[in-house]
Amino acid sequence: MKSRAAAIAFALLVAVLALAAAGCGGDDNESEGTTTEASGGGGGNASAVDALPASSCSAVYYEGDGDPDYLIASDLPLQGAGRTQTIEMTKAIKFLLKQRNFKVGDYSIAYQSCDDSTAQAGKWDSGKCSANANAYARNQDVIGVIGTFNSGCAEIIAPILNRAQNGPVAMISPANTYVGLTHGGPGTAPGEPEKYAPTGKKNYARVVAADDFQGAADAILAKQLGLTSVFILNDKEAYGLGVATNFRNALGKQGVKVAGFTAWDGKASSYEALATKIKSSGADGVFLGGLVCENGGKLIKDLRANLGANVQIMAPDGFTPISAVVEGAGTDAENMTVSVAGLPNSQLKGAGKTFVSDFSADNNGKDPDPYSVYAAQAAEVLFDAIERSDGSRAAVAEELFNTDVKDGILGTFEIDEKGDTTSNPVTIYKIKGGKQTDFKVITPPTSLVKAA
Amino acid sequence: MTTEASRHPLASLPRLPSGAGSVGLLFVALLLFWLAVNFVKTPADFVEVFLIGITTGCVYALVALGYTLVYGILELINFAHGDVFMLGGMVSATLAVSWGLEAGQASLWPLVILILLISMAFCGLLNATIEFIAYRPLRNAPRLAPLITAIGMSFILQNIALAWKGPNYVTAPDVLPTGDVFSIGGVSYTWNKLIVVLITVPVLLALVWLVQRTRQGKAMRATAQDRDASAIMGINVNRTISFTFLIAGALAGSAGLIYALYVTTVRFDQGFQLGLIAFTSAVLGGIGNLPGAVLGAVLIGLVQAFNEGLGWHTPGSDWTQSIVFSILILILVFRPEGLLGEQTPEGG
Repeated sequence: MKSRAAAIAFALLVAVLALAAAGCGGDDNESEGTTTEASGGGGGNASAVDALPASSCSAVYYEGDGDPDYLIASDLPLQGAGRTQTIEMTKAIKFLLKQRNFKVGDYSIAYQSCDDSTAQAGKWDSGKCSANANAYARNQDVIGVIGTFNSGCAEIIAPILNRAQNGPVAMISPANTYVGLTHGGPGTAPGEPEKYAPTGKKNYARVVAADDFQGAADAILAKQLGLTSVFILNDKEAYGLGVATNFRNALGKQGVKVAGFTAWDGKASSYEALATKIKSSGADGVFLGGLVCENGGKLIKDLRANLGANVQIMAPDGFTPISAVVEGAGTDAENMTVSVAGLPNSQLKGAGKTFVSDFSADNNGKDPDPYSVYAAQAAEVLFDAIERSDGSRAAVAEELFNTDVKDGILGTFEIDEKGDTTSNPVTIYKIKGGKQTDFKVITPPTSLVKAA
Repeated sequence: MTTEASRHPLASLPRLPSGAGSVGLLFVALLLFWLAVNFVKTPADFVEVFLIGITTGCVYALVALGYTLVYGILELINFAHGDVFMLGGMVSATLAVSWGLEAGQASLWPLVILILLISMAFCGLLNATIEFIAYRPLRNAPRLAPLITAIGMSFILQNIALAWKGPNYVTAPDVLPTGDVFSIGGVSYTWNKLIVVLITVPVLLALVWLVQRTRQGKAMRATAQDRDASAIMGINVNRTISFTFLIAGALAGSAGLIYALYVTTVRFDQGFQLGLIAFTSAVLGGIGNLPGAVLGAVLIGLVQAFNEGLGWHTPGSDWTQSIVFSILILILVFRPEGLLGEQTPEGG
């Protein structure tokens, strides 16, 4: 009897250890090697602000004079296929903060970079998003959040920050493109976007054009490329299904046939049967509405192998960074297009051009990823809102919606009352020789965007 | 588990109410009608998708055989088996990359066979070690204890792979020839698919031979039937069980190599889902039954391929997993012993 009890205890111990190991994986924050500890030169002391939990967030970054008054956080997935991209985004935020000497108006600002992904998932994780959101809401020193990268994660964080004490807490995203976060329309769920602002006072805005713009631009692209029939795939996530739906709606308006609309399973081992179905549908284009980390590389390989070289593969910004696409799909990614809201670095002017060259010099000469430029613009919008505010959380959130940028990093634009940017060009990149090349910039007309 | 019910003495008697039986027949008839219509409408696609399904099914079969072998001898569902397979895939992919395998190089096949042997040895030893560390001490514990340990081992192996390779897909070079074996009327069958089948079938035949015709196989069957009596007859029970795990692991290793070369991407969490599918295959065919596991695996491969690839009234890939596991539920309800019947004493 005794040995049996011991055996059960051993089994449970192993199970608990295994689960604990699985849980800890997400906290391996190997990406934070570059973080500078606070209280370095200048007698600065970050202890005046309460730090966010080290389980998700980097150390407090502050090298300014005296004590920081407030803390801002960025919330990005720092593990998985896109980590080079998101880590560069945190560097861009640090770069700007340092450039301002950690001063925004009368306030001194410290920064922490928080991770909403787990190593297991290799992408954002809903549990982490919710834990992070509660940590921001609880910590009264957090005056604004830059993030998230993934729309699904923003759906979780925005309402929690909205209900925060003395809030709402301002949240500005450099990358969320799911439509329903800021406005209703085709492809959004009932109750959107109101459910993201349960208090009725808005706190969520973005500097990137929503997917109705991207869907419309991709539909125009399909028409311009001479496609007659496009098969649309989605990865079943809020973002993927949303952008696929926007694209389908706009495609109909462009007179291009929708050959089919179905999901791909990111955990499947092969997509050959799916490719056979697409082939027999007679489509001359395939749209991949989703994320590259949902086995996108294998999907592209199987499509290419079965459909031949002449079928055009089109993807939205979920297939960035393009280096991850090329790594996963190899030469099969050649000639596919990837649309990203905003302008390519080569077309930025004034402050944008300066930022690109200065940041590049600071970052070993690497040309910034498009999202680093967006992260920088999001940080600037948040800094300006803090500068205009009276230093309370609620005032910063309110000021977010009075944003009026003249010749900023992304040019001249406003944040409207819904939280959307009024700047909405979409850049189409094409993969050539394993590299991202600027293909064209499309600014979709309002009528098509409304239909998308 | 379900097997408890099926091992009940009454389970061997025909006990289905006739109503349930006719519902089942109606379901099968509808399915055949649906397949027939799809075949008439798009014959070329149908055959193409059929061949894809057979190939996927063969990969599942190699993993399912490992589940069924271990279940046969210990009545333990070794949930870690899928992850052993995944590690085999990672070892194969790593070796293929570091040795710079390229399509068409002269030394390709000797190297592939060498990697196959390494992967089989690695997974076989790993599986036998797992049995020694995690299952043997629990052999006389209640049934639930080793089951939970198996799930625990599955997580441990996943985390080992995660620590080793990180969360991204590990890519293996595309070395299998992709030329056509034949191409008739728009249906082309490529060499890489044929190679998968060419490896699976001999492995199955060798396994059946091993279990049914050799001395070691006799020991396995005896141990499966009655462990104590086998021990009295002078069979080394521990060694026989270790040997079974070794063989099951080697099968997973060979599946890992095929997966790495045919699918070309491996990720730390892919073993778990594929393992579940393989386990479903084993149950579908009749767990413990070797040809049953292969039949179940090929059927599931076909179901997935037909669902994703056919055009006429197909639920589509949104529903693939739901359909596969609905089939598991239906089989357990209507035929708990599986298609070919449960044969715990090692396929005897």
